[in-house]
Amino acid sequence: MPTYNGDEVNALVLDVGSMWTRAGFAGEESPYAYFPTSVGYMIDSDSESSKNNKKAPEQNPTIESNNENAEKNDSMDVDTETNKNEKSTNDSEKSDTRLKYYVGNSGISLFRPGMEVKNVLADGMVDDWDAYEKILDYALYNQLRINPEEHPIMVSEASWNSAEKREKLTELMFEKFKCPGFYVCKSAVLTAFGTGKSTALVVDSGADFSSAVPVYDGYVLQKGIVRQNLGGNVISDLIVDYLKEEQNYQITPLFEIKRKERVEVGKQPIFDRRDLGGITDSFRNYMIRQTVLEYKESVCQVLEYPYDENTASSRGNKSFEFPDGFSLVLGSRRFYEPEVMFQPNLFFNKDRTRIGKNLENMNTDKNDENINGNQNMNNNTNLERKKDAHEYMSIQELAYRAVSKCDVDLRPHLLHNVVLTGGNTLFPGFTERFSNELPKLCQSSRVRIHTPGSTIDRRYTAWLGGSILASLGTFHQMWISSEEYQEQGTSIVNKRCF
Amino acid sequence: MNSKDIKDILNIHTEQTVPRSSKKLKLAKKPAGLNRELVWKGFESSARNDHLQFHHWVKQDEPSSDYYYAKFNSTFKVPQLDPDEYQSHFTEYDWTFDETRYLFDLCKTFDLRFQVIHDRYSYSPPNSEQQQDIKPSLNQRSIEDLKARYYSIIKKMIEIPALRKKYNILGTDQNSGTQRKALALLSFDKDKETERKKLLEELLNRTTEEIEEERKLLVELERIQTQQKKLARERESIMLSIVPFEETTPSMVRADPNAPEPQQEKRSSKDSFSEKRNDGTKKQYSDSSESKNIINLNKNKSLVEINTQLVNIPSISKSTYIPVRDLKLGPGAFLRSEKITPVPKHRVEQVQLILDHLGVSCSISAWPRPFMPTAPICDRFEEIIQNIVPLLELKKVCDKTEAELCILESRKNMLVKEVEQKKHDL
Ligand SMILES: Nc1ncnc2c1ncn2[C@@H]1O[C@H](COP(=O)(O)OP(=O)(O)O)[C@@H](O)[C@H]1O
Repeated sequence: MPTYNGDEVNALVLDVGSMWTRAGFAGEESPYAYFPTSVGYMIDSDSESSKNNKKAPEQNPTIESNNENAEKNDSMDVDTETNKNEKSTNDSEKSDTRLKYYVGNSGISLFRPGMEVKNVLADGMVDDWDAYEKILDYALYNQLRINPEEHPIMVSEASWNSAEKREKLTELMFEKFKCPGFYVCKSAVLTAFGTGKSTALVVDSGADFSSAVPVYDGYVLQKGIVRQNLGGNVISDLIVDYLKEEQNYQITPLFEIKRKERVEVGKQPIFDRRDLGGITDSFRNYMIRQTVLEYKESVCQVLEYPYDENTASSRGNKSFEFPDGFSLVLGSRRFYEPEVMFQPNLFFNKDRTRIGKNLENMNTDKNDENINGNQNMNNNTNLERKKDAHEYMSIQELAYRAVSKCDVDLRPHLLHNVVLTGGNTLFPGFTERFSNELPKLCQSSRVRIHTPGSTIDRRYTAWLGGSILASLGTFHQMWISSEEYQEQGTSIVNKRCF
Repeated sequence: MNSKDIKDILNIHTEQTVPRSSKKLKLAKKPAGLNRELVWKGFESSARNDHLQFHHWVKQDEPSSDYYYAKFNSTFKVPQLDPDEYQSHFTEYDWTFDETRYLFDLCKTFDLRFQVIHDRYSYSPPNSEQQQDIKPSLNQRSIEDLKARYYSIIKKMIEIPALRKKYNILGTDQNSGTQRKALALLSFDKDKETERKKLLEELLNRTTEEIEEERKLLVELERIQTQQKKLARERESIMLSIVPFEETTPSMVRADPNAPEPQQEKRSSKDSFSEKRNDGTKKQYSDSSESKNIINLNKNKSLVEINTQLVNIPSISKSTYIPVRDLKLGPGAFLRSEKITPVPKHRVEQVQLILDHLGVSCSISAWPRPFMPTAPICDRFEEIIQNIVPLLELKKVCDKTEAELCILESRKNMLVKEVEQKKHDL
């Protein structure tokens, strides 16, 4: 049926990002499943008893406004069971580790006493293989509902993934999932393909970090990769700090709220807390992050030119109400925190410590303690972790440095094909601003910024690229077959997938 | 077509559980068109070295053949290096056989994409755990180094007959005619490439000020060019007034200082230049070699012999003779009558009287001029004036002399009377 360049061989495409996982069928236009990459877990001493409990977990007083619940209740509780039944050998081993996982939208955002939340990836690479396996389980068995033994599977990876991790992934795919064919592809390459390009500079700003990756003719140029830990989470942390320091307000996530009252704008909220035992910090932080994300999505924007109070305040106000009833009307502030992507030096010193009032207002000696104390909720924040690192650079400089590291012949092509992607670039005005800033750094070349169509598309451009690639007839020869794996072992992945 | 349709077609009934769980099952979407003659069939591809079998939709009656897309699996043949040949032909001082083979392997892996080859190039010599410190310097081979190395070997494989036979690079063994072409294709000039990249880098790294200055210079250049055009146009209009205009108009209009230099001028620009300068008023005579480049603008042969000079007309790369300019005349058009020798102011009246007396009618503005200043009339008029003015001059001298004579005469008479008086007194 070679009527167009595609040939459906029933391949699956999995794009496990540090924030979201996208999974679906090659050849389709959008991923079938889209769920957080974080997992919930708790100590599960007795798998039998937990199984019984599962049917009626502690969902007691349901969270009224959480309409997702009804729809997605079929998530992990039930599904883990089916897994276990289907593949008893593997899973019984897993349960020896006595961790019970909760995956998927409702799996993770539903309160369970004692449930912790953790990230599966760190720095874009698989950090927790157990949890990663759960993510794949959930995607394949619970979402796509297929038998992986019948489908070649394409998986995305960070451009800087290590050879060892790739081999481990290969082993997982063939040994655990027994897929007939497997391929792993850099997500920057997939993003370029998803935008219809084979040569591009892929600038991706996600939650934990932002990166600029040169792609040439479908290959990542490793020596050109530039990245740093400045992304959406830093903006979220800055917003939390602002609320705390200037509004004297701390976010209480929805699941903790039993009853709230209407209060005037800017007035402290009046609400009753649910009487919950076993709230873990990690779960609470995860839920706070979700609230901040809502805040970012609803009010935050980026100015097209460097931040200026007057321009910013002329753009109108927007109001936002937090789950506990606290509400704010925001003017110029809406533009302030996202500015960190373009002018990090407004917010951070050269050693990446915060510039600003919070430090000055405190006793200098106790600075660090205080920050730690205040942020015990956010003890994972970027603000804390990267003190020893180099100065932050703006996203335009990040892109420019990546280009400068490439051969001079390539630079004009890369600059003419800059692809902007990642959740953190979704602020209204981000693309325009980036398009204004980058050319300032490279005056003698023509710069063109491409963004995958709508904001929705931009969340799964890489997946789309995988969908296109895996369904190309000519891609057939690229798959690593299980036969090849049996003969050559895991090292084949580093000889086949570049 | 939605997933329900597919399931209908495939006779698949899902468990009637939650609506969310109803979704496409095991099989990929059948291609649109609900073509019921399609079957889900296994296939293999000759582009693979193993027997990986995938399934896809094919027409029921289609004979199974090789995978349609297998033929797109084209790879560039990178030759395998042989250690003995390496020793006799390909050694180079800072390359080892091992590293060269590593380079060739990368060339094969990445289909000669040197950008990628260079990116992934990280050669470490075998059994060199103790030589870790050598690595960095080796890794610093530039793209040009790698290309130069690869292409120099490939070139030798064409140049050396034995190797040409063996490797048959680009089909050079079968067809000797392609050999030169292939060599030209494969020759890589490292120094030139390095230099080009250096310049390109400089171009890309221009500072804002430099770019601004460049922009200004370009504006200035444009200004100068328009100025030049204007100047050229002015010069042409002057030429028009010198050379009979109905002949020269077409060629002059096209005159453009930016037009490519005419060939003839280029060939002997020095000579013709000095000729024009040093011997500008050279008499007309044609020298047969030049004559074909000389056009005659003055088609009506003049009755009078005039002095001419040879000039180049830049726009058509030809020369022509034009009359030598009379230095007295000055440039531009003038009235013939203006050139009649002026009569000194104090004589005008007298001249006029004489002309009247002679019956020559004329107008008087600054000085007398004929009413109809045709060339012969002007000539005659000039002649008359040239007679009258000296005549008046002579008359004046004559009058003066006569008056003197009178005075002397009367003086003489007085003196004679005096003498006679004294004689008489004595
Ligand atoms: N609409 C939005 N506006 C602003 N920020 C957003 C938006 N959607 C997601 N984000 C932020 O983008 C980050 C996630 O980006 P994403 O590319 O999905 O992550 P990753 O690539 O790391 O998996 C988060 O910090 C999130 O807060």
